[in-house]
Amino acid sequence: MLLEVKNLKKGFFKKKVLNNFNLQLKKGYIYGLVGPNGSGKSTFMKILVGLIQKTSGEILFQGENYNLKTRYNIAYQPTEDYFYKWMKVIDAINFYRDFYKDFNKEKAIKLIGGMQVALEEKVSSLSTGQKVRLKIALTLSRDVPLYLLDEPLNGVDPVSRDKIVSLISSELNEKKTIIISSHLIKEFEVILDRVLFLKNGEILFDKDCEELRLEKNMSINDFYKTIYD
Amino acid sequence: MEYNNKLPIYMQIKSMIKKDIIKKNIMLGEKLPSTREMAQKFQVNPNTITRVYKELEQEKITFIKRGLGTFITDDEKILNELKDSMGNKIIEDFFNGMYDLGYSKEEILEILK
Amino acid sequence: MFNLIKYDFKSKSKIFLTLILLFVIENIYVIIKSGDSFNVNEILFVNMIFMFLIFVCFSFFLNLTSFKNHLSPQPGYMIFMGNISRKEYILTKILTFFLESFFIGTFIVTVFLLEMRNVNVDVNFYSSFFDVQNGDISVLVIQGFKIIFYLSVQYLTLITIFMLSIIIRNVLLKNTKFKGIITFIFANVLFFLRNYLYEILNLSFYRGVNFRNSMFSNISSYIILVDVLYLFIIVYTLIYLMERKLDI
Repeated sequence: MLLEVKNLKKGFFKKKVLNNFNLQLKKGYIYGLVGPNGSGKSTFMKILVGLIQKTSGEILFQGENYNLKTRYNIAYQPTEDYFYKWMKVIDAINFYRDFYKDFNKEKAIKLIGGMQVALEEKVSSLSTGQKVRLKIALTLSRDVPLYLLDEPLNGVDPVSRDKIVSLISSELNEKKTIIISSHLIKEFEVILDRVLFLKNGEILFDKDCEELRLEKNMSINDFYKTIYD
Repeated sequence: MEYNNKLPIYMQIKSMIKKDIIKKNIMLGEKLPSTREMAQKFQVNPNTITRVYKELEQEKITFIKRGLGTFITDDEKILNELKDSMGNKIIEDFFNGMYDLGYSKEEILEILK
Repeated sequence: MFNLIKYDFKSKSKIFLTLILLFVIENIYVIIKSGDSFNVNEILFVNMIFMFLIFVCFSFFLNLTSFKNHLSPQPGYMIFMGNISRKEYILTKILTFFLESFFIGTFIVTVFLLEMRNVNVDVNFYSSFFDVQNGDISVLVIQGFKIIFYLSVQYLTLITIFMLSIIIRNVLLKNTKFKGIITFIFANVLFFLRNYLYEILNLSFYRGVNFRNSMFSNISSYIILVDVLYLFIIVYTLIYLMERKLDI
């Protein structure tokens, strides 16, 4: 069991973003974490990576209680702009090299090159799509057991979407696990192994995508609509 | 590559491979690419391809040579069975579609002449 | 730790270069102006104090703003997801904050002393600030260190109180307006708490009744002890809140 989350809670009194949130992740799969905006997908990911403090609950990573060491094994790709304002693309790459021991600079430069983003350009002057591609390149160039990609297709044009989807899929091996959070399920469905439905602060379903298609005779996207209607 | 998301993806890929075998795009006895290469070609998750390969092996359409990879069977009989069952399925779908429109068996056979 | 310092420095490098340029221009102007003056000591000394205060204030606000910015996603996410613990972060921040001002101050004083080399030192002028009646060098040195230690503690307390105020505001009042004013209020509260501590412990600032020119030589050691303890309390609270309660 790569990750076990028990009764995770975030928030107080009526404003609980996550409540009774339980999850078990297995190694070597791509999970889709789906739910409408504000349902707590980002909050969950940020708790896993130490940006947000949980209110209560247990998190076990590879059997160990969550601590600083386990945190280093998780790579998170935020939706927000998070680079220093003065940084160029090459500065961002060098930052990752300095702050993450598992970062592969050559791979990052190769991935960036494949996505047509110039190294000497200022990050702040990149288009939304280019920024996303930069973030993905940096995140996937880290060698960790768990990747958390927060809405990685937001703001990306349809042509690049396919490239990104297949890039993510090609990164998977039996030692890695990827969680993609999104409300754009149609684009991702194809590469998801399992789908997690987040509603009212807890995980409603954790299902195998192909079995779901067989059982319900509909796409994951359509099934999503039935849940969140 | 476009898939019908309402049906399991692995089943669709399996059909595509079976068709390729029948149409002789893939020869009997030929080695199939690794799961990773296949996954990139079909633009899907490697786990999906693993599923495909597993079922193909269960259906005796492929076999695994240890250390060398997955190979298409060289048994002609299986190829013919495959062609028959896929062909029959298409015919069955055709007839069902026509019956649905109200054609009778005789009318259909007339058209086919 | 050093990576953090490196990136902080990169963030500030443009401003630093501008300031150094201004400093050079200012000093050239002052030296020329004081060339024929009879009160050259006063002019140079005032210039030093002036520059000292401006630069230290600037360094203070620059560092405080940098700290505040690190607590938001840009660039906070980058920093806090990296291989640095929050405790390591806050201690590095306090250290560089303090050292930067310290080095700036030392630099300015050194420049001043160099400028004073070819000038006749007016002993009477300077003895009004420091207790140089007792001409023994070792006493002066000990006094000097006591002053420097005391001022360092005060400056560190200033830094950490403001940092703590910012953290408290971020933890308790995430989305309020008037962020600066609230921080300022918290900071004042923390200062008054320390003075209240003095009152409770019945401490007075000066040992003797002799409150004259020798401002720093008679500071009560008890006060210094309380200041150091209070500083530790502030720093521990800072670490605790950073590690347990703060969301970026």
